[in-house]
Amino acid sequence: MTLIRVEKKTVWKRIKKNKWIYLFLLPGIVYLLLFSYVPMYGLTLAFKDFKISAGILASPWSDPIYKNFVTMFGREAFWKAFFNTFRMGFWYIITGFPGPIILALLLNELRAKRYKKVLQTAFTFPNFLSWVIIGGLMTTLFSSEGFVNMLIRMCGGETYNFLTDNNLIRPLLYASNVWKSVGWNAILYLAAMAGISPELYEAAEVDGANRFHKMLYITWPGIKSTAVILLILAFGGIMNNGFDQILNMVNPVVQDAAETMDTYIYRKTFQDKPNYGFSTAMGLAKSVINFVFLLAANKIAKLFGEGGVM
Amino acid sequence: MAQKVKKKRKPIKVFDIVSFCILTLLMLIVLIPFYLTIIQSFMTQQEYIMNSNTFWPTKPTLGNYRDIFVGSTMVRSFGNSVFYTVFGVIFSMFITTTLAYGLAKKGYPGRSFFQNLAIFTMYFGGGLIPFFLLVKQLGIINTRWAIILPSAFSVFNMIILRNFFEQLPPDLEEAATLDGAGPLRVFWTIDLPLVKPALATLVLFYAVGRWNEWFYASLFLGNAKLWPMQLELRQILWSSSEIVGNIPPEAGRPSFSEGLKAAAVMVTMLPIMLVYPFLQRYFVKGVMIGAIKS
Repeated sequence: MTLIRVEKKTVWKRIKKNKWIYLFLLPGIVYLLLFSYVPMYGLTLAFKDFKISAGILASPWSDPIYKNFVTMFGREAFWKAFFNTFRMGFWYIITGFPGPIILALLLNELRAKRYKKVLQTAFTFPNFLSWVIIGGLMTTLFSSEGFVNMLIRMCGGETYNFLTDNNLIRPLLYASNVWKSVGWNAILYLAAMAGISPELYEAAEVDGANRFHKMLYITWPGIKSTAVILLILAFGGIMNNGFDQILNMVNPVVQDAAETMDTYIYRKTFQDKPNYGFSTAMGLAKSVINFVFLLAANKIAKLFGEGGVM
Repeated sequence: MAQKVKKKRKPIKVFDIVSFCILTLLMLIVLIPFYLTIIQSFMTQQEYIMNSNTFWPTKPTLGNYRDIFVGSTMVRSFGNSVFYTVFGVIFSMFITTTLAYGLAKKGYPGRSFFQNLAIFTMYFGGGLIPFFLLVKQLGIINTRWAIILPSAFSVFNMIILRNFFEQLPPDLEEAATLDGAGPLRVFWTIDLPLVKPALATLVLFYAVGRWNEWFYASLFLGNAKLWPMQLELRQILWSSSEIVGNIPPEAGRPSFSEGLKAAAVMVTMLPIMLVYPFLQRYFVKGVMIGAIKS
């Protein structure tokens, strides 16, 4: 009894002594509770029949409780979006992964250091533009009056409308994603390369290694762990690819070819007649899958001795 | 210097030339869309349609820019964007810095609880719909608060800053406390100036994020007078272009010439274009520290 009391007293004392720290925590914690945890509570909506007049709290539970999920699993459009999310996520990763490594290797080999800086500025710049802007830039390139069609016409070809082709829209998304992010993602690899001891290269030169030997046996091992962890993390985020981009580059004509769970939820809620219960059920499904993927990615990253993301 | 002299200059090999050429070509691929948009922004609609050569305007005109700056909604939305960026960044930095500082301190009850509370939100969230309904129920829809308050906070940025605070040597603080400085004073006059580079980087990242924000604005702002520039630009781009599949513009909505669209893209991009080359190293520093920490 007395022991517990002593313990309590010291905890209280420690709280009192550090009370100003809690003052520092207050704004951030309140913010998180309001804007992150209240919406998590709002996920209960997935099991409710939402009534606007009643709000989330007072809306009645659905009957049966999993009604929204039955509706969801019964919809062909859901399954299409579900599988397409993985398919597109997979291709986003496959197309996005090697580019930064190759670019970093090339930049690292470049002798002209000034020029390297110029190149790096150019390559990283698109990463800081919004998809709204890049959507505009891509139209300039690929519309029927655009640059690519101009080249085609100059070579005697026929005008082709790339942006309304169901088979081309996804490759266009992957390509423009690489265009936007490749330079920025290369920076991590360049940082890893900068950390490799120059003595290793000098020793290899003495042993008669040529440039490709050095790349293969020194540079690559030096950046391999970075590559592995980035790949794992990319798989952890496989559900989240392309939402912003798709909203800014995909037109209604080819919409179905680039439908992910995110865009499906968005369109169902904000462009159709909203059924918030249904949309939340779908959002919950997505969050759970995403959570599992992130945990798995984290676990695997830790297995590789990289400490994960936590 | 001595080292440079000592080192023999290696002869330029084929590989050097090849990689130089590849990189230059890649840079051109990155830059061409920008160049084309600039050119297009100086074209009249007639020239854009008639001219098969979009690489150089035959009769450059400033008309599109005049249309944007005189009597259009772009100027208003530019002001809105500046407002959202400035006050949004101030608010974001306030919660990020205070929470990071609090979590960097050790030896108080509940520290790991609060830390996990923050980190869990990186893994799991309520998703779009509950978030949307929350903002709606807060009654801030169609006000500037709807853009400033939600989506203001990045836990990832907070963790980066926390790591910086953790690495500060405790001696300075102790000395200041002995001299009678209170915790707030220590924070403001000693610790905060010491992490200035990290703060600068976070300000940049938040500012770019704010400047580029259009999605929440499209959800929360029905009133076009409050729109940020990105949303205004999006509306212009999607009014009647091929990006919407040549679907005629909705009734009552104006349609814009391709030249004007390009000019709108240029104006929206300009602030980042002007600032980026000079601040690039801070961005790069930011991603490096983020990478090392995670």
